[in-house]
Amino acid sequence: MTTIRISSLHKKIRKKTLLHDINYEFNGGNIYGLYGRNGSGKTMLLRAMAGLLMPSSGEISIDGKVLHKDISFPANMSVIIENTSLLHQYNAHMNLKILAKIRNIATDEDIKANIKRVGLDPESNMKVGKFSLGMKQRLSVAQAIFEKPDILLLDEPTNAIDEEGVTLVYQILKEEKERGALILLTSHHKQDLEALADIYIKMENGGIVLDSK
Amino acid sequence: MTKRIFLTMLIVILLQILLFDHFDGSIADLTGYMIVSGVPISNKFVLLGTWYMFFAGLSFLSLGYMRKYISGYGVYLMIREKSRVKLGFRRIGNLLILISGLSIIQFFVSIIFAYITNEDQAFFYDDVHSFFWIAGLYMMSNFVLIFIQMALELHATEEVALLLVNVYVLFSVTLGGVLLSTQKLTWILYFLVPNFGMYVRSDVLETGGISPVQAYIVLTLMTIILTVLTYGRLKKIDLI
Repeated sequence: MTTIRISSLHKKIRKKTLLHDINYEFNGGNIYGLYGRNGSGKTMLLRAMAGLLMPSSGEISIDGKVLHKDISFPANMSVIIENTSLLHQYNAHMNLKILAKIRNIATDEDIKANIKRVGLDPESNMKVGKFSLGMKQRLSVAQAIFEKPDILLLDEPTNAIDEEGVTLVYQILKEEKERGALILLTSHHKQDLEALADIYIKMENGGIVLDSK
Repeated sequence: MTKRIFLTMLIVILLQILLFDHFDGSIADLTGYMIVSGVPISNKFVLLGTWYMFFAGLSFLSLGYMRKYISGYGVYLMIREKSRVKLGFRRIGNLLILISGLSIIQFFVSIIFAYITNEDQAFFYDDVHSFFWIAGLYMMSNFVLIFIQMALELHATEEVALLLVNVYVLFSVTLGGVLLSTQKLTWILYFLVPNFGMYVRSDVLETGGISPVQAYIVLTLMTIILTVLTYGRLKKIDLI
């Protein structure tokens, strides 16, 4: 199973400390719930682990391979990141098809099954630009899971999704965990994570201040 | 590029040729070098505006092409490609093809226009060699300018990048006209890329001040420098 090890991670942008002395080890087959106030560093930590942010010092290794030295991005990882949208001019199926062409591991059936899994219609020709926020977020979840990734980094994955949809997403994430995936998700409130997380991590001022089971 | 943007560019190309014809027959009668003739040294601002239409179109259609890649949908592509630079350069390559394609359409439209309006006159293909020199410079200088815009998008917002490049273009063409009319400090022209792609400002036929060979060398060097800088920036940029 996948292991992510973070050692003495610091990140500063324009003299502002965003991440401060983070040391932690994440293991596959678990759901980690990252919570804390706005600006506490949750999203930044997620982005750093995804390889999107360059550490000012310290390192992140995935199964022994150091990010930005041995690899540019973790192998077989998927993300949901704030402000990252899908292509508005295409329908849901086409959006995932374009992404699927890169790794070439998901079949057309996988694409359709996962669109259906998040409660959307895989045969619909409706363009993503016409989707509601909740539908877009559901499609983002489908984008994250359809290639059966080993690592899932999800920044507030249930944002804008209705109650029924939230239950569905939680069920999907439990299934992904059973498959052995390492899942890390963020929320402002610990209560949001209670139905799902195995380990809670509290962040404050760019550092991890508490972790509990 | 969406169909709508493509159609808009076609309208820009048609409008540009009609305006050239209306404002300056000596360029738009197209017995010379058509659109690539550029802006006369005498700084006719109405022609500067007409010439600028096509570049403005290119610049606006490229708006955010790199920025969206590093902060939007591109993130999903990048993590699957497992490379920070591969897709970035693919996007630059796509722009090169797009600029070449639109420029060829622009040449083609102006050739047809010239043929219709000037049947009995000598035509540009009387000197194909010179035509290829200047057409190549025109396309390459447009490409380098858009490449600068894309490189700037890695350091600033897309709006700032667009503004800086367009101000540089208009400033360069205006200053280029002044330098050529006074025949002073003409070496500065080599820092004013937009003049490179203008037949009337080059010495393809010994009419202007920029040597085409040196212009090609400058543009090639700029492309290499931009490639190295873009590579370095893509490797280290925080994708926030």
